[in-house]
Amino acid sequence: MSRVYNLGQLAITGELTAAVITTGVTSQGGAQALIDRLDGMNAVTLEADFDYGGSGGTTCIVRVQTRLGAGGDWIDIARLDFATTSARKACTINGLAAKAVAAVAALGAEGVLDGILGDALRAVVTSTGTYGANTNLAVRAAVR
Amino acid sequence: MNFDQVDAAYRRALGRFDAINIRRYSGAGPHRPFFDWDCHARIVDYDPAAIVGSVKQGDQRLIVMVSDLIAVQFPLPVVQGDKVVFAGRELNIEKADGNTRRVQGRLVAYELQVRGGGP
Repeated sequence: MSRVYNLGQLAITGELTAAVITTGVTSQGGAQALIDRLDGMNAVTLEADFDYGGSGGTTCIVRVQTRLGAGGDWIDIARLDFATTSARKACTINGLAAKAVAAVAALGAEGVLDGILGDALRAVVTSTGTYGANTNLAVRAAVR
Repeated sequence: MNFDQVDAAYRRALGRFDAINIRRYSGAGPHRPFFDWDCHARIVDYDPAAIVGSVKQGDQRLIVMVSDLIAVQFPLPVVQGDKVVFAGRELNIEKADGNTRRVQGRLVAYELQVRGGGP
């Protein structure tokens, strides 16, 4: 049993610095910048679809993060890197994999972190350069 | 009736509702991204007397459960320009009424005026 969630979709134009692109709702219908109520999530397949408009821009980095309960700090679980070519990238994170003690750190290019899945997800984008018109990004997650 | 009773009454009526998607596009260009959220809706035609002003011949009215949208974490509110996908057709939302079906300050269901999609 899985459900697919939208972690964000937008046109990329000016530079973004750690911009949260996820828009969700609380259980009462209020706006929030995350997808939560994912208790019991054992694995998640992530997909980022970057559609390059054909001009401008330099890099577009998508980091998907999880959180261990309300108030917890966000932890990178996947990083998907794009530049000036359209591409669709995907990965799967296994939340049940054994995880040795390690300092929480930002992921390097195309990195993934197995073994840590909380009850919420969000996507954060950092881009450099000014992308031309029709450059779009969509990020989604299939939670199991 | 309070909100929970009204919401439950709507929920009991789901057997007469159809499964639809609310679709939202972002960005621009030929490959602009979209996402579909599953929900249930009661689809009804307008009475002939109601086809005045901004309501055109062929428009339809959809009653959409808000609790469905919250369950799939649709980023409320539904707005004009969002789409409804039903029976393989994409319909434009001309108006999203988030006031009529409100109980004790909480919205039970949207009334959507939709248009398009061809025959």
